[in-house]
Order: sequence, then structure tokens, then C-alpha cells
Amino acid sequence: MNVAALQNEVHRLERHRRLYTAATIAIVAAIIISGYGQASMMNSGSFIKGLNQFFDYPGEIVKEAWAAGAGFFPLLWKFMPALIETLNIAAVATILGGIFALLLSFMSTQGLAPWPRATPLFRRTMDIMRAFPELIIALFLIFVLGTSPVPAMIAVAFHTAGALGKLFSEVNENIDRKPLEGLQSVGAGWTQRMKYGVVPQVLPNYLSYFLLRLEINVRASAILGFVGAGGIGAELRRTIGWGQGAGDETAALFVLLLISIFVIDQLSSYLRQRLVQGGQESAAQDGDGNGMGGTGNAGTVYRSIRRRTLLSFAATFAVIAYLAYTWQTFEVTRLIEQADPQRAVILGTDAVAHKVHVTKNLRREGLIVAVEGERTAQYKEFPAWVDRVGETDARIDLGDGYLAEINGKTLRFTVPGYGVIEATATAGGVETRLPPGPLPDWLSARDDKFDARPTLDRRVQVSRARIEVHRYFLGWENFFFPFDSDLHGKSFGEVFDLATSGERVKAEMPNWRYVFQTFWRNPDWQHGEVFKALLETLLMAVLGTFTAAFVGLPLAILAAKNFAPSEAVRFFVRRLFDFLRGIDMLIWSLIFIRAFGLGPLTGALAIAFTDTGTLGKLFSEALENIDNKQVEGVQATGASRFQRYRFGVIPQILPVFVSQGLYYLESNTRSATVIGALGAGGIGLLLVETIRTARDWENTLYIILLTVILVMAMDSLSTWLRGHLIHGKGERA
Amino acid sequence: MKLTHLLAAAAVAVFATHTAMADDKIKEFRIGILGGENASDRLRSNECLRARTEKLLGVPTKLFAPADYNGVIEGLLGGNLDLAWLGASGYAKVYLTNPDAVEPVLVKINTDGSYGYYSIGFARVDSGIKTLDDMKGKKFGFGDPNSTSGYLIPSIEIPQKGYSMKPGEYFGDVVFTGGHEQTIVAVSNGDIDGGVTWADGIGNWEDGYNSAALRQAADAGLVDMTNLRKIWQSNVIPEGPIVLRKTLPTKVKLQVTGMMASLESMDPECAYTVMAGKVKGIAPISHEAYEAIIEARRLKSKKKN
Repeated sequence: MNVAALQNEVHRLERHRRLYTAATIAIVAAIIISGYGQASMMNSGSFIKGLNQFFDYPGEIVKEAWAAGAGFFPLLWKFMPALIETLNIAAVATILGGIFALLLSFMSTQGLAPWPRATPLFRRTMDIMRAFPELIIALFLIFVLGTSPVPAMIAVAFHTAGALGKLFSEVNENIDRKPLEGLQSVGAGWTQRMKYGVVPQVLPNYLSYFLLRLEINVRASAILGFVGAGGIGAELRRTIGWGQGAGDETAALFVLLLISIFVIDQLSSYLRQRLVQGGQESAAQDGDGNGMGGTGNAGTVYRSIRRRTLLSFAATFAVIAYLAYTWQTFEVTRLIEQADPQRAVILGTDAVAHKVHVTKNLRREGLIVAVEGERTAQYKEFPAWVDRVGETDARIDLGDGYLAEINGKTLRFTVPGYGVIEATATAGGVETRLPPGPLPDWLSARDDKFDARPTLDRRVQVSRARIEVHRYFLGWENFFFPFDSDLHGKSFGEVFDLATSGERVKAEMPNWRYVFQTFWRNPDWQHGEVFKALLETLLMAVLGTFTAAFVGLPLAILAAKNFAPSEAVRFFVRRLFDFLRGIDMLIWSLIFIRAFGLGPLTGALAIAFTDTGTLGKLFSEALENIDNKQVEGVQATGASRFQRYRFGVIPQILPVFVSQGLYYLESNTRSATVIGALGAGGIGLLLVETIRTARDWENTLYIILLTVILVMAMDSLSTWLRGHLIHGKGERA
Repeated sequence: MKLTHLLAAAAVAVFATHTAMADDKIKEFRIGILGGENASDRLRSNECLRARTEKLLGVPTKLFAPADYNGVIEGLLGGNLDLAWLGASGYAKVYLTNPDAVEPVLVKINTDGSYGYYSIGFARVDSGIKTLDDMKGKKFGFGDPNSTSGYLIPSIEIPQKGYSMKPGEYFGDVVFTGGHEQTIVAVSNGDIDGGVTWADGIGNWEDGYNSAALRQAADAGLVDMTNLRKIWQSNVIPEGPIVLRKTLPTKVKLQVTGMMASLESMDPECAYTVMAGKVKGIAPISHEAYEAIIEARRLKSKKKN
């Protein structure tokens, strides 16, 4: 009876499991299918049509490169400096980011941190740094500092510090604490404990992650070049932009990028392998050495210490020399000299405040008061601080004693603590009368224009054509409802009452829908469009990652040593992975724009192609490392080939499959913002747009906030799911 | 020009160049919007056009606003966009890559009756640069490689005056900033010594002219025009055409052309936002008007190889 009950229980569990598996597969399939349908609809081109045109663009480029003949090779040489610039950006960013990561990781590891209470703080800092898409920082800094490699370098370094910091601190968690205790007992300080107790243990792993990051950063730097950071990306943008006639150059750049990513990828995986093995070997040797230590040869020990000291000096020196060299080539000194902090302050003000313009046009007599000076946001009734005098003159109270009076063609500007300025527009320019004394730096009085900004929130300008007074107010203007809507200016309670009341404002729809639509279609903030763009970005990431995972898995089986049907197939599939990965999202998305048009489908496919290579490689490595006993066991029961995979293999690699898939889902959400900026659409494109037009910094800030929230949400979701699925599994087993 | 006149002329323009086979029905209509030269908030200002087209054709109509000129061009080349307002050089690129992709149908007419604008070279006042003669050994910046005024025309006209555009020959360096806005920022930041952008050439320098990139930057408080100085001006550049996908059904082409041509008289507010400013009207134009620009671009491509 017990056995029967047990059997029932097992059957019940088995049924549940099957149900869950089927449900998961059905849900994932539904997401993929409906996602592609949706993406194809949002794209300007369609999936089927795109497949037919797949080779159009690569064909054009190859044709031109072929026509260039032997002239192709000098082109490779010509773009060397651009490639070196990109590599420099990546290398400096990885080094600087790595140094910060090192500090952050020690600060956030329990037992190592000098201030244990602050560990959660440092941990959150790393999370935020990691979630911040590089694109945002790069675009902002490019805007402030101009086109230069430095913005991209800072952006990549910032992200690297967060990403490496997290990996480093995971390494720190797993170290052997005994050496630390030993050092502490002999009275070693924090620095000494870290140097002799921790660093030797973690160095091989650190270096391995560092190299991996370097490879990722080369790709990131190339992409950022495309949005204005210089290097090979900038050249690509130019040649691709020019199109016909520059196809050979485009091909040369593709080849250079492909080769360098491939070389770095191979080199880093070779070095990483050696580091990890070497680390184990040297650890083993150290063990032996200690054993012999009692009887040992002091000379050998000293020599080895001397060599190590020399090596670490040499390494430090090389890094410093390299940083000095890049400081020079990136013209950092010039950038610092020219940087205008005032500019950043103005941008910051614009991002959190809005201004109201009072404008008097001197050609066509007229006085206008408008939010941000926009035609669509003019006040019919002037606000209380603008006191109209006659038809076209005014007394404008700017608060705190600041007063601007427009009288005919003259502006009288009273500044507390300075005096009264009079600026008059004349036929030939502007005449300004200032109080005696030295010229303040917030004021510029030229023959053709008078401009004064005594405080951040007050500005007046006079030119031949007009007199303009700006007053700033904290907050985002018209965030909820457009200026000309009848909901504008109502309090939350009033809007709520209106939304729930039965008396319809618009006969054709209930009030709550009217309120929502007015908000959703707000022309200044375009909440609807922004939401759609976020959705597009998410769609690209989800579709791209899911596709890559489900195409990558079967291919991985063909590429794994223990499953490949033949060595030739294995070789072929592995090279395919290298190829897909090496071409990189940047190039894939540029190629796909021609074939599939503009929209999320293009971005999703670019991600899918690159990550089929990445995930395929990871999965095949996982497959090669599985425990064969389970497979043999299943085989011994007479299971078919399919059953062997189903019960012998899949359960073993499922954790890797799920955890890597989720990890890439999160990182692809960030990638999707960048890919979008290249033309695929979504939030990245909106961001590039608002930054480039440099008008609505409050919109930019709004979009940045939403993007960061999206990425952090995906990050938390992926972490939570990974923990839940994998740990949950572990507990049940 | 009378409205009926205009419509008739537009219709002729469509029929005259109608060559490619056309399918009978379309499922959707896709409008590509160029950045920079035309509008800042592109989607917003083109929404009325989208709604009108959707009502007219009875199929879902979508707007696409890619990051740079090339995005729209690639969209047209791949047959993934149906209508766009291109710059002259952008049209030349489409034509040179595939002459059967699109046909120009209409062009914007300025308030003074002209249909052109200028490429303007400028530098900082405190740099002491007054003309191109002072730019020797200095850093010069173009905008987007597909821009007519930000690249093609200055790259031809400036060397004709004897200033070589090969980096290092006359100018110390010649770079691409990526777009009009970036050029303006780069010059006023001092990253480059001089650059080119577009302007309608009407109005005052200290306001940044009546419309275009300099005006937008000045209005945003990003640059003070009195800190900048004009150092060069091109000959007049023809306004870019509104193009349609050649393989569109004839009926659709007619309907859309008619609607665009009558936009100014039917809905001035919409015409103002779509055309980024006051226009006199929209007139028919054909491929021939752009042959000079196409030839210029063809030569430019050849010379490099």
C-alpha cells in the first residue's frame, strides 16, 4: 500500500512536471510567434520580403570591394588609426573601469570591507552603474564635450566598473579566509591583508574576467563610435552613409572589425584558459613549496619574490605609461581646458525646470507670453507676474527684486545689488547703458546683442529684432495634460472627480477614457510614443534572446565534442558560431536595415544572430562538460536517442541554459537601446533624437529615467527568475 | 499658382515618369521622415500628415524617423518606405544606387518664391577667423555625409575656390561631426575651428536667420549667434524633392501627390509643421531638376577611388 501511494505520488509529480514543461514551452513559443508577428507589423519592411533581400546590401559591398581589386589592401591600412583609436577606447575603459571595480568589490564584500556597514550602499551603486546603458552617458558627454573618444571611454568605463565590480565581489565571496585570519593575527593592516591575503587568491579569476570584459568593450566602443565617439564606428558611419562609391571602404572596415574582434576573442579565451589552469598549477606548486619550506632553499624563494616584485613593478609601469600615452592621444588636457561646466549646469537646469518666454517682436509689433516660446503654448491671459502696459509693453516681475520693463524698443532691467541696465534696440544694433563699475561675467553687451543671465533662472536678451525675457520655474511643464487642453491646470482631485463623474465631456467616450487619452496623446511629452518605444526595445531584447537560445541549443549539440555526428560538422558549426559572434550586432543591424527596413524586427534579428553564436558556444561548452553516467544510465534502460537527450542530457544543461539565457536577456535590453539608436527604433532612437535636437532636455531626462528603470527591472527580474528556477530546482533534488 | 493647375501638373508629373509595374492594392503606407534639415520634433510635426494619409488611402499609415539620413535612404532602397522628403543629395544617392526605386514628385516653394537654401560656413568670432583664408591648417567639420548643404555642396564649391578638402592639404584636418546640430555645437565648443550647416539665408545673422539649424540652436539657448561669424556661403542649393516609391499603384501615387500638393491650401497649420516653417506652396518637380546634383555626387564618388 505504501508502495502504491508512493507510486501515485510519483505519477502525480510527473504529471505536474509535464504540465509545467508543456505550459512553459507553449508560453515561450507563443511569445516568440506573436512577438515576430508584432515586430514584423511594426517594422517598415516585413520578415518574408526581407529574407529575399537578405544579400542585397552585403552583395553591393562585396561587389565594390571586388572591383577595387588590389586597391583594397591599402584601405585596410588607411583605417588602421581609426581601429587603434577604438582599441584604445576599449583598453583604457577596461583598465580604469577595472581599477574602480576592484575598489568597489572590496568595499562591498562582507569580511573584506573596511566599512562593513556601507556594503549594501556600494552594492547598490554597482547595480546602478551596471544598469546605466553606455549609450546614455556617451551621448550626454558627447554633447557636453564634443566629438572625441573621451565620452565613449568614460561611458564604457562607468559600465565596466559596475559589471566587473559585481563579478569581482562574487570571486571575493568564495575565497579562503584563513590567510586573512593569519595576517590579522600578526597585526596586518587592511591594505596589507588585501595585498597578501586576498589578491594572490583572486588574481587569476580577476584577470580572466578582465580579459572577457576587454573583448566586450571593444564591441561596445565600436558601436559608440557610430553615435559620435570617433574611432572605427565613426568611419563606418561615414562610409555606410555615403553608400555607393564607398562600398569598398565599408568592406575594409567590416573586415578590420571582424578580424580584430576575432583575434581578441581567441586571444582572450586562450589566455583565460591558461590563467585559470596556471593559477591552479601555481597553487599546487605553492603547496609543494610550503611542504618543502622547512628544508627549502631560501635563495630560490628570494629569487622568486624578487622576480614577482619586478614583474608587478613592470606591469604597473606599463599601465601608467599606456594611460599617459592615451591621455596624450585623446587630447584630454585640451578637453579639460575647454570644458565648460556652465554648459552642464544650463543643461541640468533645462532638464528639471521649464521657462516661460515673454517676447516682444520689434518688427511686427506684438507681445507674446509662451511656455518655452512655443507657438502651441501661448497664454491668452497673461500670468500675474507679467503686467501688461498698453498693447505691446510690459512690466515683468522676475521675483526677488529683479524687474524687467519693456518700453518701446528699450528694456530696463533692474538687478538687485548691481543696478539698472538699459538696452535699446536701434536700426543698426543694440545700445546698452550699464551702471558704473567692472563688467559682471553674467552679462554680454555687444553692438548687435545684449544678453544677461544674472541667476540661472532669469535671462534677458535684446537684439535688433526682438526683446526677450525668460523666467524659469522648477518642474516639468504640461507633463500630464497639454497646455491647450481643458484639463490643464486642474488639480489631481478635480481630474479624478471629472474622470469618475457620469457627465460626459466628450459625448463619444466615457470621461476616464477622455482623461487618459488627453494624457496619452500629450504632444509635448508623447507618453504614448515613449511607451511604444520602450515596448519596441523590450521586444527586440526578448525576441532576440529567445531566438538565439532556441536556435543556439540544437546547433550547440552539433558543436559539442561528445555529440557531434562528425568532426567536420563540429568544425563547421563552431566556425559558424565564431562568424556570427565576430560580425557583431553593430554590423548585423546595419546590414539588416536594408533587408528588413526600420523597426524592432531588424534589431531583434541583429541580437538573435550575434547571440546565437555566443549562446551556442556557451551551450556547447556546457554540453561537453556534462556527466556521462546519467546518459549511460538512461541508455541502459533501452531508451531511444530522443529519450536519452530528454532524460539524460537536457536536465543537466537546463540550469546553464536558463541562467545564461536570462543573463543575456538582461544584457540585451541594454544592447537593444544602442541597436535602436543605429536605426532599428525604440527608446534608443528617441534618446538620440532628443539629445541631438538639444531643445527639450526635460524630455531627455524623462526618457533616460524610463530607460534606466526598464533595464533595472529586467535585471531584477532576471536575477529573481534565475534564483528561483535554479535554486528551486536544487532544493527539490 | 491655382490649385487645379497644380494638381493637373502634379498628375502629369506622376504619369510621365510612371514606368515600373505596380500592384493594385497596398496594405499599409509608410512615410519616412528625415532629421535635421527639416524638423526637430519630426514625429510630432508629421502626425497630421499621417492622419490625413490614413483617411485618404484607407490603410494603416505609419511614420518612421531613423537616426540619420541614411536610414530613410536605406528604407527607400529596400522598398520598405513609400514616401519621404529627401535632401537633394539623398535623392541622388537613391538614384545612383537604384534608379528604379523612387520618383521625385513635389518640391517646397519658399515664401519669396524661390526653392532653395544655402550652405553656410561659420567659425567663432574670438578665433579671429573671418574667411576661408584664415582657416589654413585649421580643423574643418562637415555634418552628415548624405547632407547636401552639410557635405556635398561645400565639398565641391570650396575646393573650386582653391581650398583643397583633402585633410592636411589646406585645412589641418577635415572631419564629419554627424549632423548639423553636432557641427554647431562642435564649432561653438572649439572642437573644430570651422564648420558648415544650412540656413534659408533670410533674416538676421544674430537670430540665426529665419529658420533652420542655426536658428534652432540659438532659440534653444545653445549658442549665442553673436559669438559666431559667417565665413563662407554657397550658391543656392535646390530644395530636396518629396519622393514616392516607384512601384506604388498609380492610383495611390495620384491620390498622395494630390493631397501633398494641396496641403498648403487645405490645411495651412499642417503644412507649416510638415514643411518646418512658412511656405508659399508645394509644386511639382521631376528628376531632371536634380541631374546636376546627381552628376556632382557621381563625380565625388569616382574621384575618391
